[in-house]
Amino acid sequence: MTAPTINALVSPEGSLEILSNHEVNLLKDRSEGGLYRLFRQCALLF
Amino acid sequence: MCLAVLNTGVVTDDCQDLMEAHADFDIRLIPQPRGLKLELVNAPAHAFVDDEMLRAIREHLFSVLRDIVYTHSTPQFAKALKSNGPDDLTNMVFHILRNARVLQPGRQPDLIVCWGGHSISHDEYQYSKEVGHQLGLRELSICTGCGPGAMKGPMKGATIGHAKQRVKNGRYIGITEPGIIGAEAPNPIVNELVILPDIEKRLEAFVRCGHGVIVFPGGVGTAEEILYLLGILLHPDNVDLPFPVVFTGRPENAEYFEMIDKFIRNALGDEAASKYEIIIDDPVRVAQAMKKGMQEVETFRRAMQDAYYFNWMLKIDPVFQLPFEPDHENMLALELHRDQPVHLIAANLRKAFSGIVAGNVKEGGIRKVQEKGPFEIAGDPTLIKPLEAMLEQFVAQNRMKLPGTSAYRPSYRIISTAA
Repeated sequence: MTAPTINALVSPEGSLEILSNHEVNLLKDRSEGGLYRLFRQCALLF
Repeated sequence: MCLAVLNTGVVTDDCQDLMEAHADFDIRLIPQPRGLKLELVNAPAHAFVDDEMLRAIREHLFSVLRDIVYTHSTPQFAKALKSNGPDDLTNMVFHILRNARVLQPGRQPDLIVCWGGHSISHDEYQYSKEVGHQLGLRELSICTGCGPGAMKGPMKGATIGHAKQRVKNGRYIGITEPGIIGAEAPNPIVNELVILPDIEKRLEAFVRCGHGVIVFPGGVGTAEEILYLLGILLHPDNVDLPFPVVFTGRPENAEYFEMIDKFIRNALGDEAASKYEIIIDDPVRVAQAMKKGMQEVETFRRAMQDAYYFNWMLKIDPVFQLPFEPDHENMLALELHRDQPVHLIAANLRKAFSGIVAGNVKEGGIRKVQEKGPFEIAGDPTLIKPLEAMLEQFVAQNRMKLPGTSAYRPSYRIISTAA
């Protein structure tokens, strides 16, 4: 699949606009205990 | 990534294919002095209009973020996620829905859950849209698993119905979970997206916040939902609880629903079949049945002093709540025999279907099947022979997976009897 892609910076629409440092770190954490993988998997939604 | 959201036709529902096709996709958090932004790397261009991201998708992205953060970084949930207590599990579903603003006090019962396949024919899709249209004209709202096919049609139809009735607060709720969201990407009509942590909580969310259920033709995922619902409604505590359920489809689907009906009557008995009505080729009557059902739900909830927005009274046996991990051992160990109460037969059949879904489209399930071959399912021949026949029909009718480039390879194998 070679669909064209775009890089972009997006601002919140609707829910959740602020995070704690702890949450930011969890979301950046690529290890098993972190949330990065889960978030990326769920963000593959378009 | 699933292109379903942009209505350009679905490319694939295979999570592994998706992951591989978009290996270079990345998403990063950019904390701002006041708030945060997301940086997307190699996102598909069709998610943008003149370089601006489609508003619906932007909203969905932040709903995903909201629910993941809420579910996984709230200390109280760390415990609840591992809990076996039925009240803990129900509470968790309640909290996630409330945090997502899905529970709206003061609103009359109007939420119709639509279940059905993501892989359906064009005519079946049109029919689901017409049913949605008729629901919308009666000012009812829609809740689905938020993917393509029978999950999108009713929402599209209802949007038009709502526009004609000048309904400004129509709801198109998508309820999903991490394992399925890639295969069944939310369609852009969805204006409230919620991600529950697993399939069992997702199913509980449907029956707690929905007020009635319509089932369109589908495959194993739909079969899982039907067994889940009937298993719960068959619980003695739920006997008097109004919960309108209609199975519907086009004239050529009559045979399909006969097959489902026969399967249910054989496995669970005629009482189970009394919980639903089959309506063929009549969207108006389907919508009228739901409208009437909403009045009954409202009268009942008012009499019982139960909330309209959350079905607290519905008794859900823990067997339907505890997460089922589909692997070769668990699938083969399923208790598929008649020496148990009927709601437990439903529970175990539900798990069998759940495992086949995982083997078809979920990342972990696909990997397990690739490594060790199809999941084996064994049990009482009077239960598993009809199961095998029904699964073969799903395969023949392309209901297992979206017809892709390769033929469907079963993620299951029915073996005669347990050793």
